[in-house]
Amino acid sequence: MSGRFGLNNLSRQGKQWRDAQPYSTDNHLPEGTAGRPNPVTSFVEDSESQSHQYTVDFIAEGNFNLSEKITLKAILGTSSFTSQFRQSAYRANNLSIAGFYDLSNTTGQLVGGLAGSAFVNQSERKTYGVFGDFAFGYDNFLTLSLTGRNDWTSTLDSNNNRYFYPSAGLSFVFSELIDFEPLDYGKFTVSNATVYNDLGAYQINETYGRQVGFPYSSTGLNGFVVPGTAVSPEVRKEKIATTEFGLNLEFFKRRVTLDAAYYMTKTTDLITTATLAPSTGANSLLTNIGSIKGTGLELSLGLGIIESDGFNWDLNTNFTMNNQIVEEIQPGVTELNLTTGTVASIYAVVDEDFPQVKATSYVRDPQGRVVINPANGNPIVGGLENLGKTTPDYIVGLTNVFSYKGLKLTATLDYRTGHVFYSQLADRMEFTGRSQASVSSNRQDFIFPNSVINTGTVENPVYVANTNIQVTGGRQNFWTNTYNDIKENYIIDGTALKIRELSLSYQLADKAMDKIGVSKLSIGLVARNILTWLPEENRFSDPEFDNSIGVGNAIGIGGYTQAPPTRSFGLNLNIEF
Amino acid sequence: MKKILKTLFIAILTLSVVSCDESYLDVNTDPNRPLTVSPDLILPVAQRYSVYSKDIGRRTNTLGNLLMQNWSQADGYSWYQSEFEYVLNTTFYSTVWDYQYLNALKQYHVLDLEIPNYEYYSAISKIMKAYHFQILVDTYGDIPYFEALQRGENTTPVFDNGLLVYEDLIVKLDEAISLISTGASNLEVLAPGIDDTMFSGDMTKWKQLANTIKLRILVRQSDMAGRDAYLSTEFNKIKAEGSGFIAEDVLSNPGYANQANQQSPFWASYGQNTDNEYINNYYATCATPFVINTLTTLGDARIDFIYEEPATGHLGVDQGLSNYPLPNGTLGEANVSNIGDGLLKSAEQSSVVFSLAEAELLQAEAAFKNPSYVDGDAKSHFDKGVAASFDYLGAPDPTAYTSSGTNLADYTASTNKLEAIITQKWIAHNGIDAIQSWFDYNRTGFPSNIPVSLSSPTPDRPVRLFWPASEISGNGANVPLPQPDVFTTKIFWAN
Repeated sequence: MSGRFGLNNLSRQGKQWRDAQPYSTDNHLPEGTAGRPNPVTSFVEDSESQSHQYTVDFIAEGNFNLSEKITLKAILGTSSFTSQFRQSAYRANNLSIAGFYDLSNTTGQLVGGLAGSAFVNQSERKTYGVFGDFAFGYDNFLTLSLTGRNDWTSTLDSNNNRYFYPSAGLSFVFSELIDFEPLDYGKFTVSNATVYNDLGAYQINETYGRQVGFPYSSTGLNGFVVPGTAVSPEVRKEKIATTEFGLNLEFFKRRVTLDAAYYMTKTTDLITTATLAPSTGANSLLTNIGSIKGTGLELSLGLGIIESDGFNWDLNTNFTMNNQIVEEIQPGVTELNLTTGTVASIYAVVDEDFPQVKATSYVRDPQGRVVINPANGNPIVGGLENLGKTTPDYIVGLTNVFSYKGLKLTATLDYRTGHVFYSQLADRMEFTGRSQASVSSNRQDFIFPNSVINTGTVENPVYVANTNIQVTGGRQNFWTNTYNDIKENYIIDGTALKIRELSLSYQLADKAMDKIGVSKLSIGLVARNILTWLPEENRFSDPEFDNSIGVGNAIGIGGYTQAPPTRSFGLNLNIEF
Repeated sequence: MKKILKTLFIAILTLSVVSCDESYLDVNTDPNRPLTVSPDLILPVAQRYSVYSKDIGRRTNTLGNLLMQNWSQADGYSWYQSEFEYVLNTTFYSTVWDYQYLNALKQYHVLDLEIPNYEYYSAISKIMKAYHFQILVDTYGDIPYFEALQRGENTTPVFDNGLLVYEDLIVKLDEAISLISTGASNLEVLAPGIDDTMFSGDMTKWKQLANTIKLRILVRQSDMAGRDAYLSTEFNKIKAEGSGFIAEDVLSNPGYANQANQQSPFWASYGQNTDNEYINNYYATCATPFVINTLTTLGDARIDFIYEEPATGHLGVDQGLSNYPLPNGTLGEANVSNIGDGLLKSAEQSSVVFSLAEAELLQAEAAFKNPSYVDGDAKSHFDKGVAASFDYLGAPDPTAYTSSGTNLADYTASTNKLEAIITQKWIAHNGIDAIQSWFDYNRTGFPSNIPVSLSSPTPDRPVRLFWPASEISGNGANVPLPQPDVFTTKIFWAN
């Protein structure tokens, strides 16, 4: 029997400051030209934060022999968890005295440095639970484990805050029963578990925020905004049920290892902040929706290709595949917008891969040709269409480790494919005229390739190939308006092959280290993100840029407001005493 | 013995944890943001949203100014291409829909409560909701109304017929007026004060505004066949109620100052930044030849207040020019008429919610169509309306103008009285609430001979907007598809 108390304390203090940067008015631009860079103002910001986390566990353990071959290891326990957090940040803008970075040096009022110009942010949440874990063993090669846990959480209403997490698993070390010389170890496992994802602290509260601009100093008038997010009164935890089959094999004294896992997941009651139609008077609704079914496969093969006294070469390759499909959302709802975009956005679409990107598309005839407006030769901007999955079909990774005496060289690469993303960067480059497409016709009017016009009616269309009507505004307006409005042009293949890491290290021999008095010393060079190969159509950026706003599992919008991914080179020094 | 103690210990522990007091977990009330807020902290934000839905760039005022040939684009700027090319789609000016529902209407709606002592706030809420709902009907036709604004309780409100919405708006305005009367006899009524940035709590003026919004709704229907009996009944009700219409411009000012996020919205969008430098929108926006010629022909002194006069004289730029004339800068910002200082007054300028000019000219049209609708004759309302516009802009001598004998400036001398009224309304709305002049044009065809942008793909400008993508993506089952032709299918009040 044991009790455990854990305490995690984190406290931070910080100060940020910036000097003012005025731009000289004598900057070679003709007088009266607008668009000069705006001067940058000075500021100083003081911030601090504290976080405390307490965990208390009481566990009673017992080992029993139920019979000659059957053992039982039982654990019963309770556990409670409390998390408290407080942060504050104060900011003074437009300092009076240059170089004196103190909050008293402000010309206006102090403003809050946290999100929404708040000064202070606090949060607290608590959970407690009771659990039991029973592991039955038979003759050391067969194990059945059953667990159950009942959790209470503070983040939901008291009539809805109890959840039960069961799991069951069976593991069979069949190598014990087989007499096959190369096979050292073989295990087969099957398990099923149900877990829940909790909501964040305070998430179920509909709260007011202060409107930007208030209070007006001359009148003292203050103002608050009605909550934009409505919370469904039945909101509850997200449930994930997983069934997994696993196989672990070791051959030839661990020179060949194979680990395989196949799993099926069903996630229901996904906690979603669904974007609502404006006429409801609320921006979004926090609710649980639908169900998503997924299957996945993970394979890992390790090979000790060369093992000798001096030189060793180990290779490890892994393959992961994960596929999610939306089974249902809500009665009568076939799709749901998970980010806030209206012309290109991430959706959950019933019976389609999740997450799915939808964007405004060309209008096409049954043969796939683009329909244009005969009045101006421009393609017609169509509605939102499903344009593909934003998570890869599969990811293949490869790691090679070469070692010789104390020297070790490691190389890791991975390849992923089968997905697309919406590149905001490509979109913006079109608007400013820096895209390759916008110069493809020398900034002249041209006939849109593979286009047709409808010479019939809306009900009975007759599509005739367009051989003479040119687009309007090929110099600029076509690209900044019509072409740029069809976001299908910016949905790009996300395939990428990356060399993630290359490292070379040297570990000093034991004899040398005894003399110095350390137990281990190694020095190494590391290079990360060295090379990335992208398909030809992606001449913009790394598809792993992500700019999605919204639910955590909505990915696939490539951003342009963050710094690009970096390639780094470093030196490692490791000393153990 | 040990075993018994052990088991007992576990039992006690488990029991104590399991029977934990409910208050142990009661830590989920957000200490950072309030769950409830009193109405005097909600109203000023709602009124801010009302003026922001109009005065901020690319919202209703800008749309009207561009469609009605008040504004164009100076050389060196690619500012208004979509508007000149009439690239209408489900995102074109979708803020007209989104901002009014998600900001203004959402904020007013929480004040519309039938609880004791809420009479005044509830009345204000109904009046301003009618103000916004009318603009939505005038722009989009059918809109969600009866089922709208219920947040999570109804995430798919149905679309209601525009005429039925119009009729219910009158009912709601009547309710608001009677609520104000009820509130007056309630000693404990919550009375708005400084938080009412429009009238500072003067509820008589609210009644007048309610009547004036009713006037706008009724006059808009005055060209429909078979509405005469309904209009007569409603106008008589207004006369019987007795408070009359607004007697001065309805302005909103929460305490605008020359600081970030506190400047008057029209000034912040089209005037200067907090460092008193003109911003890009100011330089990019200029007059059209049509409006300069019209004002000059009428001998209208307001031209120098609506537009800034460059040293070389007033100059407008055609909308939709594909090639600006050489040498470079001929039609650049220094040589063309940008927005004048009758409209851009200061960072502290009050925002106009409803102009006296519009109220008087509406009464002029009502009196013209049927003298029994309103008190006073059409000519005196016309003169007062024009004078109110001169007064707001700071232009001199309106009486000389209205007695000049010029067609469309002088009511008596005008051959087409309706054209005179609507043309004067168009001038009065210039830069202030131009979307109203677009509604008038769709209904009456005045001002006449108003040109279309040079890069227009259609013979005339649109008469409505598409229901926006945001509504289709959240409420697609209820949006009536296919969408009506935005260039030809007029709103129900236009024939």
